[in-house]
Amino acid sequence: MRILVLLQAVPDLTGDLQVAPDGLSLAERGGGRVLNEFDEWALEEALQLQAAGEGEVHVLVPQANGARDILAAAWAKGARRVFLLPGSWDGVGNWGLARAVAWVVQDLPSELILTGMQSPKDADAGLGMLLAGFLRRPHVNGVRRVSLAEETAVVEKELAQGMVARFAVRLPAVLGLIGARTAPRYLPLHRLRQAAQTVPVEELPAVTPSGPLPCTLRRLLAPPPARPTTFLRGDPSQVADQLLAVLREQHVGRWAQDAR
Amino acid sequence: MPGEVWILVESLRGQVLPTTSELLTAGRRLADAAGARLVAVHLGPGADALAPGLDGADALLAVDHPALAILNPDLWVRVLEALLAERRPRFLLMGNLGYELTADLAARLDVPCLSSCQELVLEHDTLVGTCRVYGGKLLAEVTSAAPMVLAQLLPGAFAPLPAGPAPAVEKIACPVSLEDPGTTFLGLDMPPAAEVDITAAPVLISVGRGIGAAENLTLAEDLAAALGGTLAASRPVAELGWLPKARQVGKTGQTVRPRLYLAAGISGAPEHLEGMQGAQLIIAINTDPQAPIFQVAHYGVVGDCLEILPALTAALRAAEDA
Ligand SMILES: Cc1cc2nc3c(=O)[nH]c(=O)nc-3n(C[C@H](O)[C@H](O)[C@H](O)COP(=O)(O)OP(=O)(O)OC[C@H]3O[C@@H](n4cnc5c(N)ncnc54)[C@H](O)[C@@H]3O)c2cc1C
Repeated sequence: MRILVLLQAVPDLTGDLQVAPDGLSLAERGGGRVLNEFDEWALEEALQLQAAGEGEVHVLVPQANGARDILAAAWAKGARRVFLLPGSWDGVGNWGLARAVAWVVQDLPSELILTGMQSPKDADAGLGMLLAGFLRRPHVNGVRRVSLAEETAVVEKELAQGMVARFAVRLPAVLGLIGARTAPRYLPLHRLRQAAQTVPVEELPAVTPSGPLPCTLRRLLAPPPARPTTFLRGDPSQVADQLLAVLREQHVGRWAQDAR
Repeated sequence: MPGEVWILVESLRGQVLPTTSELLTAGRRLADAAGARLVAVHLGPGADALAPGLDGADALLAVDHPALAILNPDLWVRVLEALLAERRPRFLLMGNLGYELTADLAARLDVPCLSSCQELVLEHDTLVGTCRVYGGKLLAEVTSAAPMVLAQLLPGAFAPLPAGPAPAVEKIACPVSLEDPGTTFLGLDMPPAAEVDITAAPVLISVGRGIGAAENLTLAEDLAAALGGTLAASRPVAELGWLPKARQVGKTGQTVRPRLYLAAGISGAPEHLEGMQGAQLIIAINTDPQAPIFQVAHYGVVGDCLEILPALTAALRAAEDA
């Protein structure tokens, strides 16, 4: 069984995210792109299925800064084939990207497509569920574990308060992952560097999203704070003293009785 | 009827969920602006009992079929696709169910969709959605003048409406065959009994990925002991197995409203904020001044939690001894 894993390079959220002067894109400040966190779980679950002899993992990454590193890492972790989708995908949203992917996967037969449940740039919607719609394949989103039988995947979908719903999904299908049976495996830096030299990337024919995009991004902006935050400054012990004063004043912890 | 504003009802065990009330608020605003009817759509049995909780809607459209009693992605998409194609409402708003349904439906119907919207307004005939992106660090203002738009709203972003009269229920036959489903519900697993109930704790010391490693949890444990608090966590900390799942706060964890929520090394993604923004006092420690947790914190410290946590523990112990 072929398992196609869709991975995306996204801005590193721990970095300084600033809006570019055009108001529509991010200023690239060397903050770099990283693999979308939820895609990393999707890749791990796929590799676990492969290790259990239940399938062969292929990876598809749309072109972006950092895409080749992601392909190299996926290959070093065990993906059998790695594909690059050429093109410029920054301005087209997941809608345009999903359309293009739906087009190319017709030539990359797979019984199961896995991807992260969401990515940080989803103003339109998650890539996986859009893809399921364009391909008219059954889907489940928010999945944390997959097992495979002949023509079905049995999945665990996370709900609120730790509840889990189990579904059987008829293949071919698309699943959006939020977790995996084990945490994503660690790849030592030297193996990544080695893979970057040798990874056999297969470049797919270029496609452009067809038809007009149904939504227009008008601007990106920083969110206003929900409430004014008082920032405490100083070295750690000075900050600790200020925090202590706050707790005392707000009657928290051992000062809770003072409020009564 | 074309032009209507629809919301998809979310309910559990016969009760309308708070997310539905938020959808009603957002839907009412759009319906009033467009001069259109606001229609609540319910899939599954039990619509009559839900109607009183759906005040604010002009009508309740119910597809009363037992196979739709619980969310089954393939069947729900089939039914909604048929209803939308036939009745052509202007907007369909969804809450948590939207994570499962919005994108698939939008792609099938070739209509636009927006996700994580915290604001929706009509400017002339154009819908303007404000969506949380990049983990809550930025907002994207997105517009669409398409004749039908699907939107998933961010839970917690819209205040519920004041009570009003219950809508009339219009029951309709299932518009498509539900034979041979692509997804079949197999069962529901409840979480194992928790060793602690974080929803009952007045003081929560909550750690995120910024704590760096499982061995650093002792810093938070020490503080919790000194302050009489309980440890909680963001999703990655639970997912990495550093703390049990029962301690996870947020959308797929617990919703908490403690007296104090101290967030250490937590970015404040929308799914985390959903579970804790009702806390009375929020203190956030984060090295990143842009971290969205500071948008909801009463007090913020831009700093290293590996230094601040032990310093606060020491200050508390010193105050105790004094
Ligand atoms: C459907 C769905 C449901 C979800 N449910 C939940 C949920 O229930 N709960 C939940 O928490 N998340 C949930 N998530 C995940 C959520 O989107 C975020 O990925 C998650 O909350 C991030 O956790 P974090 O803040 O610990 O990690 P990160 O986002 O990685 O943030 C770590 C933070 O630590 C800071 N930091 C780093 N080092 C230090 C240091 N030394 N001192 C201080 N700060 C430091 C960084 O600046 C950063 O802000 C859900 C996601 C989805 C899609």
